[in-house]
Amino acid sequence: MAGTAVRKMSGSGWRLAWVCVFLLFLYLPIMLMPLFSFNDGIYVAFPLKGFTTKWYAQLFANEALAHALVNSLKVAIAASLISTGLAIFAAKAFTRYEFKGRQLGYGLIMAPMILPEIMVGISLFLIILALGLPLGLYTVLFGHVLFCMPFAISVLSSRLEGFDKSLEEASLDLGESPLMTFWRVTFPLTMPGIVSSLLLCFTISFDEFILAFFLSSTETTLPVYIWGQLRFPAKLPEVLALGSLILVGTTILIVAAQSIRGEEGMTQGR
Amino acid sequence: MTKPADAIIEIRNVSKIFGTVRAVDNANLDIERGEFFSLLGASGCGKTTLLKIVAGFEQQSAGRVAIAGADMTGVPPARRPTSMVFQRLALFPHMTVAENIGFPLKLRRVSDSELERRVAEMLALMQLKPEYLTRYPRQLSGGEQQRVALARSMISEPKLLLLDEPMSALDVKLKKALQAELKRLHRQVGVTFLHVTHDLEEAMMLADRIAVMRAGRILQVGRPEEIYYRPADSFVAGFIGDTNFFPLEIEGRSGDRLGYSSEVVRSREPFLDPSLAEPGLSSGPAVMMVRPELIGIARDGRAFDCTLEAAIEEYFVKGGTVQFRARSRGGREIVFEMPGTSVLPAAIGETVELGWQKADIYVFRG
Repeated sequence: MAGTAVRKMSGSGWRLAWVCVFLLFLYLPIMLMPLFSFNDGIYVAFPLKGFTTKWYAQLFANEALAHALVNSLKVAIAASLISTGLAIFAAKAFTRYEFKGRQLGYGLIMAPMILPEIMVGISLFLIILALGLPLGLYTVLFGHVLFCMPFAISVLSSRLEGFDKSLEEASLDLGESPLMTFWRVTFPLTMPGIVSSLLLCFTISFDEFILAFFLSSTETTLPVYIWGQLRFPAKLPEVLALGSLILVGTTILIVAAQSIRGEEGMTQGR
Repeated sequence: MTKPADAIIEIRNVSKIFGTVRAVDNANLDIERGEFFSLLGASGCGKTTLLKIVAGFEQQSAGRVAIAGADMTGVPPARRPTSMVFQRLALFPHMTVAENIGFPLKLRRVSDSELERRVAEMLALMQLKPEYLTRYPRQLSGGEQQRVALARSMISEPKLLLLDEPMSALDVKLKKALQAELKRLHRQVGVTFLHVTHDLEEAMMLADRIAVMRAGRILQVGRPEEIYYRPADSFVAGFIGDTNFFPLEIEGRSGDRLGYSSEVVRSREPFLDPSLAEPGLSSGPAVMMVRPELIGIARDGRAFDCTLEAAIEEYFVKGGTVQFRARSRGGREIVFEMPGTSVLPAAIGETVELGWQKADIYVFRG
């Protein structure tokens, strides 16, 4: 026993060091972003030049950016609602029914998760052009729904598989119709999964660049706008300020989501 | 099979095939109104599949099920006069106890006051306290959850309550208490109960009649004492509790008795009444079945029709009784059980003469 305890001690020292290196690598660059967003200079380099909030002031005065942000929010909200809505039915079908081509169908719907995004983007772009449809936020939304679906389906499938199928059978047995069984039993029990799926799809769509780059025209989303701004060195601090704000927003969202899920877990015994 | 006067369930030639497996193989069964009926068998014997066919969750591959005289083919579970208590209870975790129990009434557009009254009635029937109404299922103990599940199934007054091994997740003591509860409930409400279990004692304790199943087939239907003391064959005999089998040779009929000989068992008179043997048995190899509790030790002038010498090998105290394992000189193991006393009637290693009365045996084809 003493031997294993000693080995455990030294082992955990190495592991701790590894975790620290990993976390530094992951978060240090991100932490530099807010730091330089308050730096009074356009170059990201030490030593710092002095404290300023002028980049934030410029940011809030930038109408093009605000417009891109609103576009992104529109697309992300619509994409998360549409893909989660569709995914509920797909996940229910994949987890509850046996039908011909179930495996194949699942594989095909899941494909966008692993297909190179740039290929999907180019293909969609070519097809939309060939069909003569105008590019715009709707085409971006279409691409994002396609891309979010597999994520939404896998979140919801695991939720549906996680609860006892006999709950639905019980409802049917007690005289409820299939539609109302879905509404009174399946839907509320899937709720935590629906919330996760909405948040996940929102985040995916909100920072998706490649599809948005190919499928948008003059109306762009935030990532495409940021990419455009990076060509001008003077704009960089403003992008850093924007990034810092998004970082704060994301953190708040994640904490909120976690605490909601925690409470759900409490009331649902899961 | 003769049709009982008042069958609520008629199962006719029902088979269910999954791929290449016959989960239920040509089952025929009549269950009487008001009866407590158990389907008993090891896991995979088809008992749950048969229950699900009655409930409507599975469709039979062949045959017909009628409930209260109406053919149920193609009728979904919601429109059958049955209600199921699931193995894992299937209480809705997002609803309170009151919402769970009232679930079936909500959709029948019962007024709020009526709903409240009937939920309270069910709660009283299940001997649950009113303060439980606002709790969630996870805040209740296993036994309380069981009662809520029963209440939810009973509130819409089904003609038939189906119970899918509802006690299998409970500890022994709680199980016993709930079995007594279930029996009381059955007497009180007079609804027909169809119950599935792999637990012999549970079936014996609860059921008016039992169907023993194996590999999709119904081997025997009868009252607990019939199943136990007059099993249809040696498989049922061995499946239902501990038992002893001794080889015999039936020599033939003489008058109204069957003559036999045995190299293992000594008999005062080697004849037996044909009612103690499987019907139609008149000659050839056979086995004599004796239940452990019907075997005694021949001493102090106690006389038995059949006897056998054996050495005690081990014993264990079961509670009310003590079970012994002994071995005959031929190497045959014998299990017998005697009323428990603080001073045991025989010690390990001791050779005793075991005996039993002829009225307590049953003879099968060998």
